Amino acid sequence: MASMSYIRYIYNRRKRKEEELVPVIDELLIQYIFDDSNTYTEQDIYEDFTKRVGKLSKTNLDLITKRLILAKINFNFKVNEPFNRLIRALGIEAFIEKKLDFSNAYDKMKGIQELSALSITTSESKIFPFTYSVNKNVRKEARSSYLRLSKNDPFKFFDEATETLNEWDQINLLKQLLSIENTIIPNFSKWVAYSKNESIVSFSIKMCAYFKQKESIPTLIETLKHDNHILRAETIKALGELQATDYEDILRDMYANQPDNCQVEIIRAIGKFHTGKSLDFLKQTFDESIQTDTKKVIAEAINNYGPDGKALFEELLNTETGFPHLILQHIANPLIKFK
Amino acid sequence: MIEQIRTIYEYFIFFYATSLFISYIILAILSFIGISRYKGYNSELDDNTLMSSPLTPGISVVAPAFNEGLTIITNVRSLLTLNYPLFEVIIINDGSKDDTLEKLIEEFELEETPFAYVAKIKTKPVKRIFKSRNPAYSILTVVDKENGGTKADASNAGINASSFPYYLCTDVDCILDRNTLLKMIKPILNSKKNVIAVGAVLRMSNSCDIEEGIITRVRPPKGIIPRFQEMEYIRAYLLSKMGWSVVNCVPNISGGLGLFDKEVAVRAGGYDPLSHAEDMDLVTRMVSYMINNKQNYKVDYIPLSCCWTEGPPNMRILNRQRTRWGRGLIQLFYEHRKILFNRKYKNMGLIVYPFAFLYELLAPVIEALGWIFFIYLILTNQVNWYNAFIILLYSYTFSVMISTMVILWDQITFKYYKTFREVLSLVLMVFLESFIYHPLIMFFAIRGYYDYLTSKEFEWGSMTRQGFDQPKQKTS
Repeated sequence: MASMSYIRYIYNRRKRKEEELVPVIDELLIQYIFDDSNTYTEQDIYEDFTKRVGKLSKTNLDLITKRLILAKINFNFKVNEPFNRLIRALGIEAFIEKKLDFSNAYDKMKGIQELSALSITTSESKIFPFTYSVNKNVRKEARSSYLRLSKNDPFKFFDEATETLNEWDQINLLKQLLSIENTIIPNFSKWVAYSKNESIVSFSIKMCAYFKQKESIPTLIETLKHDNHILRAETIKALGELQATDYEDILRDMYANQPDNCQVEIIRAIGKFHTGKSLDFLKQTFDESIQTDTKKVIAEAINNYGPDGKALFEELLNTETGFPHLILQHIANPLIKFK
Repeated sequence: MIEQIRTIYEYFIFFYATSLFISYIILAILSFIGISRYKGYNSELDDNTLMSSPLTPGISVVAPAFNEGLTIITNVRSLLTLNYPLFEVIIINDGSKDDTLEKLIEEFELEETPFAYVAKIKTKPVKRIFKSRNPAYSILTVVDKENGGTKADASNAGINASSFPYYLCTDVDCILDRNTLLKMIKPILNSKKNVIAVGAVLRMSNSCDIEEGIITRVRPPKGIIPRFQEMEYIRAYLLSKMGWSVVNCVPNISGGLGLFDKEVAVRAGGYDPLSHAEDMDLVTRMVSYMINNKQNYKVDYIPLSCCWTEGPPNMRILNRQRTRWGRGLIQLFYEHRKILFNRKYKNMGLIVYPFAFLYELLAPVIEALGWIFFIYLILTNQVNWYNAFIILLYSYTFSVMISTMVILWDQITFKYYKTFREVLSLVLMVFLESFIYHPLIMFFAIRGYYDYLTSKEFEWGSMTRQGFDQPKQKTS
């Protein structure tokens, strides 16, 4: 009971202080980041903050860092000189880096995250030791940040990674890739072709599609022979995104021998190609398919396949009966958002 | 002869109680590890990362409704305002006899729509499917079906109508935290193993302030019955389920809130409409499916309170709920008896089921026998009162310690209550539980076993709702 009341006391005191400080901090951040006529020096900023917020203690700096990250996320502004000046004036970079040196794994990971969130380009050497940390979470976070920070070889860990990239790692990596400013995104087909790590291959295929890297198409075509059907499906999806229309015949020819997930992706890719060459194929697959989910995808592909596809869709709508007719109605219905 | 039975029984109780105490201590340690890891490796920044990523997977929110006319609009609005980049809400009207469907049609401008519904899991017939003419509600689907008698049948229909690879199953009367989907999808994404289900902490909404389907102020329930349950839920989720999740031995994901891998759930056959413990039954079958197909799996829990549900406000409704749970538990063990102590089912067969069998299914029976035995000893003047007092005091203080410790963790880590007085009102329940609430729960469980063994009929959805933003009505 004593512990509980003590915890409540500390918590309430901290909360009250936070409630008092948050509006003051927000006001100061707006003043020093968004004011166009910003001519303040680092000394001005430091003095103003210490005067209105109080001593720049660990608690206060933590709160300022949190509000700064929130402001950056909400206003989505690019790093500019006033922002950098504020970081320098308050010693935020040094404060976060201290977390990396003298704290537990949780705080180290959060420190790396904060550096990323604030787009602070701390020195590569500061992060590098953590890229080999024994702690999996710290290691992953550091490797993800290394992508953004390294000037020499940002994709070093793509070459040597033996660990599986899970979906969260992939989401984090994409976030880092999108935050790189003035850096050329590499051609991901390199890892599609040579990486022995299937999760790196999978991520690279997605990135080829996401960054519309058309030069990766020949490599992707080779991946269609991969044993892993999940990678094949990912590749077909990417070919659709990249409008690899020259390879439509290959996709059509391989359709019959593929598992359901690959068949669905082939139909979607052909639907995106809009070449007009596969209308008979789509009609035939619609007639022959016994999988309802695949039939839905085919119907949608036909409906979106240009004027000829639209005409065929209308014809099917008038001639089909029973469940196939219901599928066509389902696809044609604009009220159904997720077909 | 009687003397021998007595000696055997006394030894059995000694080892039973000792093993139970030890397992609680182990669970407490595991739970502490689990909560610390979660707090350490997750941050608010993760939500933002997920919200802005094109790689975030879609989720279908499936919520069955049976005679929920009083609260349906507020609750559906609450589900529609969840914070997640890609999701749909599927409400299943399970043959409600009140105006649930009419209210939905009017409020959300619904119209009957030709929908290619495929019964991948067999359910009672679906009559109609509705979509909204208003683009603001384009993510809402309402499935109107014949009453299936259980929540399981309605949930299965919702899964059949869903579009995304994951589904969140909830009750339509539950109020979800706006970030529930963001919080619950992360363990699935951030794991080497195939995470087939994720659960989170549930609490009572009975005395919380709720505006437009959003919890604006969390309070422990004022009523004594729901307040006991609040304490019981915090202990069950933060201690037991969090502890088990560290060693991948989670026995079940609550029916009120669970995120599932749709493909595995469908392949496992979905919810069993004949089961009265459909939540534990589904997890059992999903895990069995993964083991039978030699696939790695994990069932996970997060220590955040994401869901507030209206708890039984009085004894009569509590009796109905717990009797159903009792029936469900015994039915589950009967249906899945081959798993118990079966090495083939790994953790499920050697840890989860044996633990639940010994300390959940048998506990009320052993306890009841203990009381009968104690009365016999009193009547035959064989009680050593000094020792009896020491043992009872020891058991009582141990249970108080465990429950108080969990409330303390809840305070250290999450602090949902605003004032210390509210925390104390919950601590009070810890001291009273052994005398008031626990005997009731034991009695209701035994009654559930009796009902099952004597095959008494039971229907779902008989909990009378009081509603959130309407004036409270007397429970009939």
